[in-house]
Amino acid sequence: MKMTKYLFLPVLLIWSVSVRGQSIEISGRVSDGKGQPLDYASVALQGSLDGTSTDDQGEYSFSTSRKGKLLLLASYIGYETCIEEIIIGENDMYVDLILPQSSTDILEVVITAGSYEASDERNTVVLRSRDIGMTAGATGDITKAIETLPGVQRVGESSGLFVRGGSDAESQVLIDGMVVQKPYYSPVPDVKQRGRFDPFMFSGTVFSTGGYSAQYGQALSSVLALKSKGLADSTHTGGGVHFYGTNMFHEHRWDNTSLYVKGEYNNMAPYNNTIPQLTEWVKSPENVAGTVNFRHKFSDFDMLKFYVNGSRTKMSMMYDNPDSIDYKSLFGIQNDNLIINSSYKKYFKDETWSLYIGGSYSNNLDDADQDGTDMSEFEDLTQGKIVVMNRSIPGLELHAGTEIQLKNADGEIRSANDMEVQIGEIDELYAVVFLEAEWTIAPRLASRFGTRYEYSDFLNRGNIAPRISLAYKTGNHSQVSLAYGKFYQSPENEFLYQTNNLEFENATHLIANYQYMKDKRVFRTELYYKLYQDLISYLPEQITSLNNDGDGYARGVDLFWRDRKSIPNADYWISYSFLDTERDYRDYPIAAPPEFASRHNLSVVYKHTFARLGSMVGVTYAYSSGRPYNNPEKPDSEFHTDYTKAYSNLSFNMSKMLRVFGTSAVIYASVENILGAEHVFGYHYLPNDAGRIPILPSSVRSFFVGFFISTY
Amino acid sequence: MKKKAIIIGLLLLLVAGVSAQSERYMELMKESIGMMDSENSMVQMLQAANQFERIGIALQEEWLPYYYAAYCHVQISHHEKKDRAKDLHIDKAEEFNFRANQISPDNSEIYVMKGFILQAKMSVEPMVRGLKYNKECLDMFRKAKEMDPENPRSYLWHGVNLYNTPAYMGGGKKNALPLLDTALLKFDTYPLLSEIHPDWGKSYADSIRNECLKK
Repeated sequence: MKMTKYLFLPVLLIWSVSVRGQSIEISGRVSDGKGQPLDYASVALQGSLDGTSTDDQGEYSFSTSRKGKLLLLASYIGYETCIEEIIIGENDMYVDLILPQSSTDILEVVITAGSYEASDERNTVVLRSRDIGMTAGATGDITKAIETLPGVQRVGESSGLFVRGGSDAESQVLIDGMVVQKPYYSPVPDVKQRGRFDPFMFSGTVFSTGGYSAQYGQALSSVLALKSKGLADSTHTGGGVHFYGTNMFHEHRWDNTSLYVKGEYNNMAPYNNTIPQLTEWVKSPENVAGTVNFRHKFSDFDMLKFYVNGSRTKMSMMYDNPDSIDYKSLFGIQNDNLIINSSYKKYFKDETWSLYIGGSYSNNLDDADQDGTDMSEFEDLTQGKIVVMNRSIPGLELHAGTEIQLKNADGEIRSANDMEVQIGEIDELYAVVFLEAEWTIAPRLASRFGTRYEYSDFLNRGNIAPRISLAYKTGNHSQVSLAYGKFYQSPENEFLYQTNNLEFENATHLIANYQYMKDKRVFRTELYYKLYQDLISYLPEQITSLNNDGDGYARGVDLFWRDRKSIPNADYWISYSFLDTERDYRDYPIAAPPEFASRHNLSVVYKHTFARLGSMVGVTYAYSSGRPYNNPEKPDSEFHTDYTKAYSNLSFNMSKMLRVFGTSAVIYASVENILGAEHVFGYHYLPNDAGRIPILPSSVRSFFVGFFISTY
Repeated sequence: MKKKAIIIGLLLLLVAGVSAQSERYMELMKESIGMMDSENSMVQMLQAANQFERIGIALQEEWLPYYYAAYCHVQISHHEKKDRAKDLHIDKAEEFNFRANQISPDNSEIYVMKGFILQAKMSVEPMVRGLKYNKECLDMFRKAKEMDPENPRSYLWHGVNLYNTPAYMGGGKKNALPLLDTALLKFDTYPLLSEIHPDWGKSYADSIRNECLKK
């Protein structure tokens, strides 16, 4: 009984306050900041039941019997509530109310110059995570899906990302802020290797083609930052069988903890024996891998992530080697790779502060054998990183961080008669401090200013890299961005084994970007200029003459269009990049376009979903103009003036979901290069004018069929 | 919990009889519910949403106005064409239902509404959001059943969820049918606490059940 009193106390209060008497009419018009009327907006007199909705002209009118100083409220979805103080006297009143657009509804200005983001958490992104796993021709390989974005040059015979005239060594891959030393399976002569990571492990991907934040270093061309998923959704078990192998996993979810364990065995032998191979395999690639993923949420504000991946891969083949007697060499390799990655992030004080602590250890052993000569390289990397964020001043977000990497590389050669030669040893301590401010200068203008100081103990040198980005919203759906930055990178191991008397190589990026994003359509274009300086250069056949006198440039334009609206249940994107680049580096006799640079790259990705059938069909078309190759029969002045044939590739994939034994299952199939277009990636010239051998893909077409099951 | 709801309901009726002020509350609520029920007019639905919001803010201690405001915004979201507009209404619905939940915790109807809102959220981008929210959505219906096993709406929306989930994901007409049958039985016996208490979904249950019976 006591409860009733309290329950209706405010009601009684409200009504008892109202003075009986003549009622007053309050009317007016509700509009947005630009004078447009807001129809069916809510208008209310605070603390009373009096109020109404506006009509289709934004006009309102209601009567009240209340008197005195009161607050009149108007609200409309997507707009800030307008609160107006009014004094009700004896006469009817006319009050106009103006509602500013709510800041959450104005699509935020985001710095987009140079970066493509795939995320499930934010709406302002160009891609979703599943787009990466479900692109035809990619067969679940993150790198190959990224290759369908503008700015990436397809290089069929090498692993890694070649971005805007940059080599694969100029790209960095990070998982949860930690550098991944060997993101791809070990290189084998002229055969492209897959990335090591399952795309479904990540909830966010940022692919940056230039101008990236001061958080990233040791990359002249591009950064691929992967963010792993948080706590697992549920407990489930699953596995798969496919043309290349088999895997099994179990994921367990407790209240605030989850654990994922996966084991994999892959063997390409059945595939290589079925599908005609251009590569002469002696032992088809065989791989055993294990993954453990642990997550713990201490509270809503902090999370610990721990990830371990270990694998062993073996393969051997005959390959075309112009330097050997019969131009054939037997090459075999065993690779052992281990990654231990952990990170912890905590938010403090209403999320105005955050702390990130990352630590990782990884090692990689490549044990290769070529015609009886054993070549081995062992590398390990230990890193620690701390980043503090503060955003207690509105419109300003500060990031300060420090990072230390201990790197060790040891290369050895043992010839057939057991002569052991050390190629070299690198003992590196690399330290970084960076500071970055993201400052919203005006509601339409965002900026990011950063600097990064890097020190290499091995080179005994430091550098300071400034980074600046600006983004300005030109309309409700469009924005322009600009970025400038300086990027440094230590020379590659093969050079550091010779000497440490070298400088950092560096690149300067200038980027201008325009983006239009409305509903389910995105258009982007980007102009860029990249200046390379202090690149490694040496005289042909004299690797001891190493110096930093190389330089070069890259410039071009990228176009991207994505449309998820025009065709029902379909989604497509088109990427085109134009690249003009030259370098005078390494043993180049003159400035010339590098062998990995193609002038034109085009990708068309189309996906169609049949929701009722639970199936998806995708088609990807890729085109790259020819790449230059070295023809030693030509004089030095005509270096890299011969081009390979253009590359074109039509791929197809499909997936179908099923219900098997009460669990969810997926059948996935794909074919690459359906039309069987001939791909030549370059030539090996044989000595004494004995002709040349083309560099070919390992097979004309490639196929994938898999069946995956999960107790979801 | 049900006991509490009955007590509150009885008190509501009692006080309504005594006080003219609560008569006005009932009147406004009935008027708003009438506007809301003219389901094909989104204008009326918006006006009803505004009115429920106003009553909710003025009275503070009543969960029903907020609950209905949430319901209206979900219905409006289904009629919006753009994803962004849909999301804005769904966010609004979540906000109102959250307030209703603060006033009346452990209320079966409010848990059904939570699942109902999540379902609307998933329908905006089924391929992306389906996996993310469906488990939580089913959890809400399960909790709603635990709180009040007689509430027909928890069976109805659980059934609708399965109806909309493809068979290869564990849903389908066959799995939805028994839940809809249960819902329809409970609709006939569920006691209505007052004229303004939730009393919606029966005709929808009928139509979905008929869809399930079709081959």
